[in-house]
Amino acid sequence: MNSLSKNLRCFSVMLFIITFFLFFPGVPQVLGDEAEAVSRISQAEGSIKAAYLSVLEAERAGGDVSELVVRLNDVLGYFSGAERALEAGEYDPAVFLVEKVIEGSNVVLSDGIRLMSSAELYGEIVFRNQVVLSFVVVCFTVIFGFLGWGLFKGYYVRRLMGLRPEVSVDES
Amino acid sequence: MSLDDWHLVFVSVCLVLVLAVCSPLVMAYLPRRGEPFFALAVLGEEGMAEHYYPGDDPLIEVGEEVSWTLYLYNHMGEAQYVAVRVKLLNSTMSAPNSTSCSPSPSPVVYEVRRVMLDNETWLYPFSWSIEDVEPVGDFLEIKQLSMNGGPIGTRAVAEGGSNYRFIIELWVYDEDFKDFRFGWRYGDELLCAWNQVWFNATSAW
Repeated sequence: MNSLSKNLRCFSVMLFIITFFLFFPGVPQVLGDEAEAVSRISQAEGSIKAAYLSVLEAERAGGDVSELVVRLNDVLGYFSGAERALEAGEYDPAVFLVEKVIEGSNVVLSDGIRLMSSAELYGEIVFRNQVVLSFVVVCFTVIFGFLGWGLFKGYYVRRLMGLRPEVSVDES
Repeated sequence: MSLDDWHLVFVSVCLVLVLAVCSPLVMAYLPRRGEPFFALAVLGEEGMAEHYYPGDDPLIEVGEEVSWTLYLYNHMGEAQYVAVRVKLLNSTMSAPNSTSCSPSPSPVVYEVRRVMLDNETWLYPFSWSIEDVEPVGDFLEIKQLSMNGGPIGTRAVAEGGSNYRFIIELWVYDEDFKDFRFGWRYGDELLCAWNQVWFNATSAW
């Protein structure tokens, strides 16, 4: 008896759901759109964070990130537009803007990685050049310092030896 | 000058030359001096710390537009991803705590994000108006605001419509935390920046 009533209840719930969706066919579509928009916005947020971190790494490697930051801020403009569209229940524009955010963030991300590698390479070259230059100048200074000092000392001593002694008469 | 004096001059010149050549290498490894910080301010309609309300009257009527400028300066030594979060409170609701750097628990009514370069100053025009209010007994409820042209639903209530306040909090993206956090870290310290501007609301048109 119990299992029969349970089956009946199950059947009536299923019947209600089927009837509901027959009369309101747009409901699952709207729910699906909203869920998709929310999930894409969360994905876009992750893309922006990844793009920002790549910009930060590029800056730490010594790259000039001002142009990347301008582009990332454009992406953030689209992102806030997408959030507002979602709040207003406009799911299609929200998804459209989110796609632009993801695309823009990915471009900034790859450019950031590229800038980081080139900045690191440039930094290494500059560092190597500085080390070599410093080493050469230090060696040059030490060698020519000793050499110059030796020459100067010889000249100074010769000049000192070449001086004629002058006898002064103390008339007091 | 004696030979010893000349010796001293030679050694000094050599040392100065060596130091001058090595200084760029040394500088690259020296830590940066100075405390990193953000500066946050709310400016009035002329971009100054005055004239915050139309006609300098803090009693804001429905539909009356208020124009401010949010001022933000990044002196953190590198690019920062920041979010400015605006909250609407009355006088009894908790404001952020500057000592513990805990934000106000009230919901965010408006948020704007930006990546700022080091030493960049950002001026963000922020205009708002009250669009819908409803008297509830002795209280006044702000049901809808307009912020930079967008409608914002709220349920902020204040006795007699007095002493509402906008709290403007600065949230900074924390790499380790992997999310925005109210304030920023300097060594072991957590520092934060927030502002508040008070106003009164009236149901009169």
